[in-house]
Amino acid sequence: MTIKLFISGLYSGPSPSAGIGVARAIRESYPNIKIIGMDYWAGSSGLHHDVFDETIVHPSWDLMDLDTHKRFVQTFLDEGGYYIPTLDLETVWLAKNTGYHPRLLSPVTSALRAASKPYASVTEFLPFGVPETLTINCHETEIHDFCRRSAWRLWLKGPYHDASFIGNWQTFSAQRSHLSMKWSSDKLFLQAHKKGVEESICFSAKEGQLLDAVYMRKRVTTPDGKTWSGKIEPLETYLREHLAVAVKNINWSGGAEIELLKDSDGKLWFMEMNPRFPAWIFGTAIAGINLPAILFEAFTGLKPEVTSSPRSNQFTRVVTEIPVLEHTPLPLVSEPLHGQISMSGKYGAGMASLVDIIDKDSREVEHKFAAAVSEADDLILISDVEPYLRDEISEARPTPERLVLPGMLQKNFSAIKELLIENKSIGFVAGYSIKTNPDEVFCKSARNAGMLGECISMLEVKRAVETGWNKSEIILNGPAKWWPMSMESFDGLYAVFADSVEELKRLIQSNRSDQVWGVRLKIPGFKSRFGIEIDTPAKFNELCQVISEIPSHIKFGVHLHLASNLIGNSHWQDAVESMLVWALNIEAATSKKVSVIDMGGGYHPRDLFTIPWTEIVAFMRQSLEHVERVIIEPGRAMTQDAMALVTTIVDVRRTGDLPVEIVVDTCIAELPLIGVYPHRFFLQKPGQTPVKISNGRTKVLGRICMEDDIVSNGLDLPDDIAIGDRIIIGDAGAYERSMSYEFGRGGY
Amino acid sequence: MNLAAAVIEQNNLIVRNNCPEVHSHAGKDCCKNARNWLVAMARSFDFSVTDGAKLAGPGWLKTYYEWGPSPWPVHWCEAVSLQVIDCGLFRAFANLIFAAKGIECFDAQVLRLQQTSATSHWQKRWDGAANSLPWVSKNFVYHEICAVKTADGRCELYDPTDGVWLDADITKGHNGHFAVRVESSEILQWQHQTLGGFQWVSL
Repeated sequence: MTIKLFISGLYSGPSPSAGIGVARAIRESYPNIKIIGMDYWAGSSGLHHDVFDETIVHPSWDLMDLDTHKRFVQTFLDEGGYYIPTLDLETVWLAKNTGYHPRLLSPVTSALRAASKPYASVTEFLPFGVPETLTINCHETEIHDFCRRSAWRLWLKGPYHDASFIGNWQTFSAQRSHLSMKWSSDKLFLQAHKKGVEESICFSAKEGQLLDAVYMRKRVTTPDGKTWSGKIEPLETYLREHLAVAVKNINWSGGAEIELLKDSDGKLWFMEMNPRFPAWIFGTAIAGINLPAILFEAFTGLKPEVTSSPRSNQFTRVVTEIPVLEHTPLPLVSEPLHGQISMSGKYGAGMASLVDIIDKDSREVEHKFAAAVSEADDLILISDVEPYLRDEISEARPTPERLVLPGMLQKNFSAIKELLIENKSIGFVAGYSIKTNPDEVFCKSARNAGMLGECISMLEVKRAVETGWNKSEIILNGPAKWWPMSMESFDGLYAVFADSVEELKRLIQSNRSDQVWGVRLKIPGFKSRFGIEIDTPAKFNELCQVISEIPSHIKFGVHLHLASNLIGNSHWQDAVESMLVWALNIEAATSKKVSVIDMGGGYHPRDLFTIPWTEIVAFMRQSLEHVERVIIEPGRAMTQDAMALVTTIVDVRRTGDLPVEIVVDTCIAELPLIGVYPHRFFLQKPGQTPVKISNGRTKVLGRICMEDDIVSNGLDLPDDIAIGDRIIIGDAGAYERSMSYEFGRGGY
Repeated sequence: MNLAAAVIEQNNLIVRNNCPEVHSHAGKDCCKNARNWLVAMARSFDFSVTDGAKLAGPGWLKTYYEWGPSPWPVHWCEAVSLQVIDCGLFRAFANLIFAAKGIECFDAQVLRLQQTSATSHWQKRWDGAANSLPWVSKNFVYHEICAVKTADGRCELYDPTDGVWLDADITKGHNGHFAVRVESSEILQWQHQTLGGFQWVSL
């Protein structure tokens, strides 16, 4: 009797399935068996490949009757057919619905679970690093912490496929919405990006026994990172030993690919484990280690009919046209939808619909977000706003209203004061960034805490002087610091940092009596519109020449401003270390010694007091022996969480009993950065204490007629939410305050 | 004379045995400042804290400088300001950067197999260049690279012109490594090849 082998996954587009490769590899060793190709989309071009004796097109997964399909699979397996599925989700569905079958050459559910994202337990047995990972059903504050910790270089990954690069909060929010909708799932996770080259291990196994394996180094990839060419090598002994242990422990059957990244130091990082052979699998046959044939032999007991010898340990792909078989005509093209630019070449098998079916059991859990737990700062916020909310008079006060939170203000400025006192002896100084919140209460608190004033215009200097700073306590920065030009400029400041060589020349020609003149450097490799370019020898030499002309009685400083909040802490540390090297170069090339280092601002409130300032300052003073002062310029970190905004619900829109949208009386005019970083939300029912709200399904819309006036894409609000209830939005200080504007109020 | 040395001699590839040196102007700071500038640029593009990798190669060199004929002899202060540099300067720059990172490295040379479809272009491009070194023959090219010590007795070969780490298996065909010479008295294992001792090693 002719052996029948069914193979699924015949899509052969830009992100191909492995079906053709598996079939070609097995055909090479077993020319006389009957290979039947199966797919779930008529557009899969592998349906027309001559490696198959027969092909079957099933309905796409979103349209098929699953019981009928289950019976179909069960029948051909029971009748002696073998089956190698090559689609991830199909493999999971088969494991769940068919279970173990001696002729199903794929893993069982427990094995799949050990290999599944995001925390594959199989990694416990493998000698690979695992990038830090976070499932995103936690509070947004935690997600933002993770993103900063990962230097804003992360991947947002879907439950089975898809990965989007995340470089900022806006991209994260957009991609989260996109992937959640695409996969009908919140089971998304973030993974820290690792810089490295892509390599992988591919293997065959039967019931926990490793049959054989290869190591593949990608040489050419598609723009999406899919393998196009690669080099195949035998697995090193230590890797084989670890893999054998892993396969045994998770009782793996079938083919699999472990995707890895190798960093510059040679360390291997686990990316993911695919529960099937990869699309490049025929490369293993070319290299003489025919993994599909080895798997087939182990399950059937049939010796290969043909033994082929290795042809090359490298493989590549070509694109060829083949005739379309009459019995499987190509799918017709649907008329483009409005706004659709091109025909889609994407796999049309409706695989995403399988996620709903596969994850049915866990969906109840999945849809629940992590409960909001109030941290110490939340309790201070609640305590700060309660007097206002409990006050009967307050009910008559119009909202939205922004409140200063005295407890948070006290906490932040006490902390900076303490930090400055502790590090006074080593010359550590902080300047309060006036632009982040010029309100008098903040300016005075900053000065009382021992901070200098940091300004970016003459108007800000005026403000600083009005609120109590001496001119000799003011740092002046920015590209247009002398604005408005009609105003007399303040002389005798503590420090002025030039943003261009031209400005530095003008400073030198002036008769100003500031204590320190310095330069803001544009560090090569970091994106910024600010600072003086030093990325050619000519530009650097010109800068050094001008610096040499600074009068000897004026001290010299170097300034860097790259917000760690936006680039992440490790990236910021790279910038600081780099600045130090440039400062040393300036000293070496000029007669000036660096007396002042200014590291700028932009620290996240949750980071400012965790950065090891003492060590950093000591390191700087050790590297640059003439440094007297090391300055930071926090503003956001001092004020962002020290204000909250109270808003009232003015409409509740429901589907059934569930609130799907609410409208509040605040908007992006009061919260211009609402989509740029996460905010904490608290709900206050009349007469009750505010409670923290988690992420959820109720969208919060702002009051103005602007499409982008969305205050939150989803909060977990109670079903009895009502007009008149109030939402308190935390983290509404800093730029939310200073950049807010008048809009939709009948005047401006 | 081993096979590699014979090929070099027969093809009249390069007049000097060792990688040429980039000179410094005596009694002036210009060349020291130029080297400092290069090292500072390298630190800015290194992102060693973010990436956490010590051995990352200076891949930015190949995007910053264009490959092509450059004059020899050359001083550091002239070299860093060039827009077009040859493999000798790429090698010199990269090894200065590796050394500044505290990584032991050596000058190295590779004799590569090339098809005439490529060498005819290189020959033409270099024909008109003043003071450049003879590095192209009909089927071989001479190329300078870095040997980076990765552990005791081990090295990897970095080609800063292309920003790639070389593969010891590629010994045949276009761009195949015919022979390698590392300017180190220490014997170093490069993947499955043994190099060092200032000797050309045929692969």
